[in-house]
Formats: sequence, C-alpha cells, structure tokens
Amino acid sequence: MKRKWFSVLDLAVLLTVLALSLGGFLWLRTRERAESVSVFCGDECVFTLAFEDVEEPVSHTLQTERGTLTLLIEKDGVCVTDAACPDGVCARTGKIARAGESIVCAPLGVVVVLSGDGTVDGVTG
Amino acid sequence: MKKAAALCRAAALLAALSFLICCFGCARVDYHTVRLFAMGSACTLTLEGTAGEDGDATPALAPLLARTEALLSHAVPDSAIARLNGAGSVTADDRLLAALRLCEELKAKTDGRFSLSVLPITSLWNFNAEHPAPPSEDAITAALAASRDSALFFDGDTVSRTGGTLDLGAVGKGYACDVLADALRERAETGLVAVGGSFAAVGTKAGRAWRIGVRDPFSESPTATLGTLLLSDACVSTSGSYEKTFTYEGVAYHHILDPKTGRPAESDLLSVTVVCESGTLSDALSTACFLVGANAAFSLAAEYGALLVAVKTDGTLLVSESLREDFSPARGWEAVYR
Ligand SMILES: [Zn+2]
Repeated sequence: MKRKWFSVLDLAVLLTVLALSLGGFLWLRTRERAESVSVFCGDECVFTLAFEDVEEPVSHTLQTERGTLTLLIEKDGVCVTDAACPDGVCARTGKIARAGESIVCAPLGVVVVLSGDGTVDGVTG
Repeated sequence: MKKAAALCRAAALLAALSFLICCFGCARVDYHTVRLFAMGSACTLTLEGTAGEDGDATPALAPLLARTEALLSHAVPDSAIARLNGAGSVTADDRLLAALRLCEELKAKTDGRFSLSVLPITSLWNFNAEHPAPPSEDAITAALAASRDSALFFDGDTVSRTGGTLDLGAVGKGYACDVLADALRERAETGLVAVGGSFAAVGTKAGRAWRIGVRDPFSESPTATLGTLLLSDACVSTSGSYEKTFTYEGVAYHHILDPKTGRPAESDLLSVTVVCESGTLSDALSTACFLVGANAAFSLAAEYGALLVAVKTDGTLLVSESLREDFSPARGWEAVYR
C-alpha cells in the first residue's frame, strides 16, 4: 500500500488557509502603519512629526519638570532610549510603529502616540 | 496506517486554522459596526462588544432610529411634524420642543435665512427625482408666498404654527444622533453614532479620541478628506453644496435652499462642518452657517460655543482657533485658524 499522507485537495485547503492568514496579516500591518507621531507633555502637545519627513533617525530630548526623556524617531517607528523616570517602563516598551500604539511615561507625564490617516472612524460630509 | 494519515491531516489543518485565527485575532476587537438605513440616510453604529452577543446595544438602539423618523418626518402620516403641519398644533416632548425652539432662535439670528417652515419650497425642488429640473418662476413665487410670515408658538408642551409647513431636514439627522447618544450614555457605554454625515461620539474609543474625517468638497469621492477631527463626547455635522446636486441646461443646482429666494443659497462657502456638544445644534448650525456665509458663520457658531471647519469657494480652509489641537489638515491642505 502506497503511503498517501495528503491528497491534492488537502494541500489546496491548507495552502488557501495559509495564504488567507498571510494576506490578512499583511493587510492589518499596512492598514495600521502610522503616518505621524505626536508627543504630549502633560496636556500639551509638544510636537507632531510626519514619518515621511524623517530621512535619518533623529534623537529628541524632552525637558520635563521631573526630568529628561530622550526619544529616537526613525522613519518607521519611535522608541524611548533614555528617561529619568525611576521605573523605566517607557524605555522597556520598545519601538512602536503602528497607528494607535503609544508609549507612556507616567512618572514624567510624557505620552507618545502614533496616528495614521487611513484609520478614520467615519467621514462627515 | 489510514488512521495515522487522517490524524496527521487533521492536525495540519488545525494548526493552519489556529494560525489564521491568531493572525486576525491580532487586531483586538473592542467594537463592532452595524449599518442601517434610516432618516433617508445610511447610518452606522460603532458599538462596544461583539455583534449579537449579550450586552450588544444594537437591539436597544436600532429601533430608536425608526422611531425618530416616525416622529420627525413630514412624510410619515401621524408624525408629530405631520400633525403640526396638518392641524396647526401638536403636543411634543421636551427634546422636540427644545429643537423647535432652537430653530426658531436660529431663524431670528439669521434674519430668516435658516428656517424650518420651508416645506412649500423644499417639496418644490425634488432633488431625489430621476430627472430633476428647477421649478418654474410662478411655482417659486407661490411657494414663497405659502411660507411667508411663518412662526412657531410655544405654550407649555404644545407647539403651534402659522405660515409655512415644516420640513425638519436641516436638524433630523443631528436630532437622531442625540437620541442614540443619550441611549448609549444611559447604558454607560461608549460608541460612535453616524446618521448620514452627522456623528455623535460618545466617550472615547478605548481611551483614544474618535477620528472623523472631514469630506473634501472638491473631490468627487465621498471618502476623500481635507483633514481629520479628533472627537470625544462631541457631535459633528456638515452642510455642503456638493451634496445632492443636479445640472440642468448647464446650470448646477444644490440642495441648500435659501427661504428668502426659494432657490439654492448663494454662499461664499462650499462646506461647513460644525463641532459642538449637541447633534441637533451641530446639524442646524451647519445649515445656518452655510446660509449666512463665512464671516457671519464664525460669530454665529461662537454664540453657541460651536467650532467650525469651513471651506470657501476659493478653496480657503478656515478652522476655529480652538480646534487647532484636534484638527489635522490632510496633505495638500493648509488651515487658516481664526
Ligand atoms: Zn518612563
């Protein structure tokens, strides 16, 4: 008896499922890619920067009332490289890249938020 | 052997399926979207949880749209507005009374350019017809005469009218947004209600502001935007001359009618978007602001604590100063804050 683990149909089903999951995964990725980064200190927006304007990685240091925080902004994401906070949670967050993701440094009152234009919840008109 | 093969196939399929579920599961689903058609418009409810599951607000909210239409539509026999148009007076609940009072107030503030008593005029211009055409001079003159000296009078919970019959087209969608937003608040839930182009943002979207694009009036595409508004616990409505138009013998006509001339309003604005706390107010103000033009629009809105995003016919984008942090213009647009 010849060993036949998978029939042609089985393989077709498997490949379809894999293709679908890969496609869905990539679609979610591109859909949510951030277009800009906004940095808030307390309630105040310190700056907003569009990723398309970022050619080389730039380092930016914020002077807050409770200490400094340094951001590294690259063309595809942002991370906190150094912060004067005692917990270091913000730096451990790592790099964020997708619209809606954020880094919060509660001790220093700094919030870094990514947003993307393709992600509106509705259009008024 | 056969058993082993079958087992192996099942395991492979299971692995592939779990990979699929995992990939789609990466986007955490906090909200679901329900699409309906009511008030002559496409409506969208973005609600907490999963559709059809316990706690889904859809069964509680969806009927409110039809109920609001049955209250406000002049075309629905026995609606409050149909009865007011017919018998000349009707009793109304607090919400409807407040909306009618607001519109009478706006009518006074706009020197009669914003008015609900325009059914003789709006029914003359049938923008939904298959081959729309402008009405004749005589018909416009007659419609203007029928809506002259119109006014609403309030006595307790009774409202009565003189003059022209009412068409609540200028406030209905915003009114419906308020009804559904209040229902969501009563359930202590967050969500986004859209009735046509009018929105009520209730709370935030899982801690982030709701993102509402403002339509680009120069684009044919209804999804092209000139910028994005960040809203939480706020309402927004837009009136634009690009919506519901027809061209007859080379002349373009739009649907925002001036009750003084009985014709499409001549305004230096292409579109006005109004942000404020109430849907009824934002809807009514968007029409009123369009009718009075750019300069008067900003002072009128300020009287109600409302904020504007306005596009002039020359392409200038005017934005209320207080929206600076919550409005970001799209690429190619530059906002003039005032
Ligand atoms: Zn920190």
